[in-house]
Amino acid sequence: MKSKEIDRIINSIDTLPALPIIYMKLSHLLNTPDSSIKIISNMISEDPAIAAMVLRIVNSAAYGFYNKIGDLQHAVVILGLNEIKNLVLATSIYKVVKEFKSSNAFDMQEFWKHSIGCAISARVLAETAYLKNPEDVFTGGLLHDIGKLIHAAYLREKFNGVLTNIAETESQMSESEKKILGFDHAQTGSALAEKWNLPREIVNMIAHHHLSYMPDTLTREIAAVHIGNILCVALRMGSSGEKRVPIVNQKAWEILDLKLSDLEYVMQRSTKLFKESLSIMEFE
Amino acid sequence: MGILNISDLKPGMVLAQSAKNRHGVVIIGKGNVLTEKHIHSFKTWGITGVDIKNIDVDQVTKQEMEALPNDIIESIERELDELFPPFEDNPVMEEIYKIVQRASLRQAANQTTGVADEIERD
Repeated sequence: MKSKEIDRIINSIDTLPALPIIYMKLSHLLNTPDSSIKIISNMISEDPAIAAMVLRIVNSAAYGFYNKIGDLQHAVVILGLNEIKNLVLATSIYKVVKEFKSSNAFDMQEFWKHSIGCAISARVLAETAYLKNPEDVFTGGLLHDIGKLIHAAYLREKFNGVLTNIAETESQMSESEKKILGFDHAQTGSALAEKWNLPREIVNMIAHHHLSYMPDTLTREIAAVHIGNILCVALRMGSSGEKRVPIVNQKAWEILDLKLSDLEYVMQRSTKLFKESLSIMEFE
Repeated sequence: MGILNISDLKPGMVLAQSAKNRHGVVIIGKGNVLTEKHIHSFKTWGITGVDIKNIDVDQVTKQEMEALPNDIIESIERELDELFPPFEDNPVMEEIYKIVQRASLRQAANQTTGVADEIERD
């Protein structure tokens, strides 16, 4: 549900973060028939910071490859195009988030940890539920709260009001945002994702991660991000301002078709991967 | 009987129900005594929990709780109370709550004995 006001805000911010150009170029390249692995890896190498981070991630325990992956071409071959695309996106977002100046009340480091935690939990859920595209779910999880960054950075005063309101009333951030701003971070975040031309699926994962109302189509990907977010709050992986664990939507749980006993496995594995990821994507 | 998570399994435990993979294929039959090899193969087959004879999972938690001083248990309970909203008739939330509770208790228990983090046990 897009409101004119969100569009106005998104469009009026001159210094709205742009995704590093590399992701756009890569997306475009992957859609053309002439791309080769060499061309793709060369393009990623044009941004050495991102290339270096992709290699670090690929060689980390999170991926569990036995042999060291020495160069980008090798990484592209082994991981496949969709995974590489999502990795480049994740590192691009990391770059963007790092450059944000935030209001005092909003802890950027904790926000980033929470985003990573949700990305990982959602992904592990997706893998356990045999979804066909866990890398996309990872991205959706990573970006689910990006709207809060926009609010914190560009609507500073009102956002501080939201934070105060939450502390006083113990409500969820969305409720306070809707009261004070007129829209919530799910709407802002999905509007930003659209501006970044991200795939519709990812836009939807961001827009509907609370499931405060049923979307036209409740996909398993949306369900995974919804529950992934809840798990990472329960596991206290960072914080993005929510005081309480949100309640799991019944339909979301059912659509994933998991057993209750799968939850412990998912949470343990997510915790493990979370610790490993932090050592790579640390904020100083 | 109780469904135990893979990481809680120990050789010598007896299966109360056969362990099946996602497609309903029996990997190891009911009544079998588990060996290290069995436990390892569960991971390969993607099995996350199995039904063990004579284990009550809530009992396991109670035993862990008994080993801890009261003030620590109370502070964990308080933290969980603040973190989780009230919920009723919600098996999923209950399960998440129990998992976090168990992990917190274990972590507290290990801190008193100085062992590494309990949350990851692989």
